[in-house]
Amino acid sequence: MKRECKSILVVEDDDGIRDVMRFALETEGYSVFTAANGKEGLEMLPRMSKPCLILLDLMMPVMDGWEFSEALEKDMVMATIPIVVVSAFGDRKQPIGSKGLIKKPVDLEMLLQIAGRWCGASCA
Amino acid sequence: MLALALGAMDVEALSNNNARRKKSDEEELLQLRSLVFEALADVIFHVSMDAQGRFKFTFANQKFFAATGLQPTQVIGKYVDEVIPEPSLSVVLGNYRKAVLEKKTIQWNETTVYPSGVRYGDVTIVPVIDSNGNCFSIVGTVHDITPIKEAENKQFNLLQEIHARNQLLETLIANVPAAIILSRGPDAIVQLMNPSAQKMSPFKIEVNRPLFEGAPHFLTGYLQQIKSGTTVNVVDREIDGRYFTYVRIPLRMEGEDCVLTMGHETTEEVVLRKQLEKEIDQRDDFIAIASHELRTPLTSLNILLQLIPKYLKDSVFPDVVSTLFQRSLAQLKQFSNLVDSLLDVTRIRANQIVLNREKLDLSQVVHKVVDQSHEASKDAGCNITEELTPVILGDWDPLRIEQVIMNLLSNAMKYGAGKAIHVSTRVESGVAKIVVIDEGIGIAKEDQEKIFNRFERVVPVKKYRGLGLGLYITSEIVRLHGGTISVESELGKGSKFTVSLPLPQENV
Repeated sequence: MKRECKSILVVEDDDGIRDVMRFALETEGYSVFTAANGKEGLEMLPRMSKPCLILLDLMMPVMDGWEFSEALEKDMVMATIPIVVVSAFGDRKQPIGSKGLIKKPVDLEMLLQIAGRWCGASCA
Repeated sequence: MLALALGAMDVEALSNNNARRKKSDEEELLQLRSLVFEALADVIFHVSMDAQGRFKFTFANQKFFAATGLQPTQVIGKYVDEVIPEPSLSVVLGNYRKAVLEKKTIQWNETTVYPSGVRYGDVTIVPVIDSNGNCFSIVGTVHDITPIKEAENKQFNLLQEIHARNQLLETLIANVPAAIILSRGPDAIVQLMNPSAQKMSPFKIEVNRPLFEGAPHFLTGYLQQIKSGTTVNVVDREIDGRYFTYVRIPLRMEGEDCVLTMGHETTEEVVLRKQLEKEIDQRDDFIAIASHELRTPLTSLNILLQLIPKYLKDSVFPDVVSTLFQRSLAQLKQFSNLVDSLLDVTRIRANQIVLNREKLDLSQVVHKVVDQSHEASKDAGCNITEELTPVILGDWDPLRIEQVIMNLLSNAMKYGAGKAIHVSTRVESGVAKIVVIDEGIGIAKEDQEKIFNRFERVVPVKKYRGLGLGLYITSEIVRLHGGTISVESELGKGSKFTVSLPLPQENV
């Protein structure tokens, strides 16, 4: 029987970063869903099991990180999902509901630590 | 007889007495005359003409010597030409002769340089006519007007100096490249203004008319400034889109409040400064964007390179290691492209870009780049169609032309994601053309010229990433090839970029 893994949503516009984060988290056993911008992220959420963590880039086309978190805040259920910002700009205003910041370039150990903190042990 | 004798004696005695008395009277008269001559305020002299017609001084009073600074021995008994210097001498002798010949009184003004200095005098000469009606001498008087003349001269020189200074001041005021306006009273009636004021003033200014006739709302501030009685400096005040820096100095003139306004237009400086500030802002934005863009591939590389050792420990995942390396290389390529863009900008600024021209087929180069963009266009959801004229030969730098096409295609994919892209080549009016058409967000009319500028971006960076250098570098490469780049676009309806490159003469 297939074990139910904890899922993480990565919202990041850069293909390279998105793929690498997915790879790093998947190899740790997390079920990773990705979106190229906030709008895609909002569309992705109903199609996946409620994630234990959203890793969110800020500067993105179509819908940026701030707009995404504002939209999420309006949804009673989704508003409870912890958001950790992944951005090069640590000095910018953090979006609503943000639980932490991973500064780019991302340190792998920190990424996995954050995932572990919010999602617990992976299913790997 | 006695009486007669006495009478004779008396007569003699009387005669002697009379003679003595006569002599005494003459002496007395002479003495009196001399006293009178010396008591007079004017110079008195007598000159007589000799047989040769030369005039000689026979008498002069002390005033003569005092005025001229000459000694009596230098004058009395001397010919006139030995006493009076030129140029006065010619006039003096001419008048003496005239007086003697025509037997008439002559008057003139004389200026002569004597040992005592320059003397000014009103001269009157009277011919002395004897009992036979002949005239051989003249008597003259000189009313010394030297002190009056000197005072007049002093006054004249002073006036001349004042006039010269006024002229200098007027010339300065007229030519100074600053506005100068003197206004009087609470209505600010213009008393004086220079041509610069008339030229640069934002209002119509006329002498004897109120200064703010055309703009009465400015009068309030002006009056407050006068009331405060202090000098007011105003820097870069905007009036109808123009800028002025001026100083207002309150003055009290002839019992009335006046204001001296001096200033100049600073529109050019302000525009330049604003442009500079904008450029500095753009540079700062650029640095922020560049650091973000450079960090992006570094982020991937950082994770990838930290992952690789995990999989190197055991060789059970050879495919995974290979994938990690491929991705690392792809990120390195992206990083290297960003650094290349920054280097290109530096080289363009320093005119250091050198073209390595070689004979090549433009359509073939376009096809090669479209082919290389296959993966990227798939990711962007863009279908690229080609319409290429078989062979377009020219002398171009192949790598730079590839860069131009790649930049245009990247833009089309970025701003027209999910939409079709059409690329074509053709020869038209002696030039080779590359046309890239997308169906993306389009560019507003007012932004179409800006997009080829350095660091210029017409879309927010948070929506569309990039350094904002692509089109600038593209247009510079095209320009170095002697070509042009243009854009036709409409917001929401996509864009059409046309690159025109000159063809070698033999191909035209």
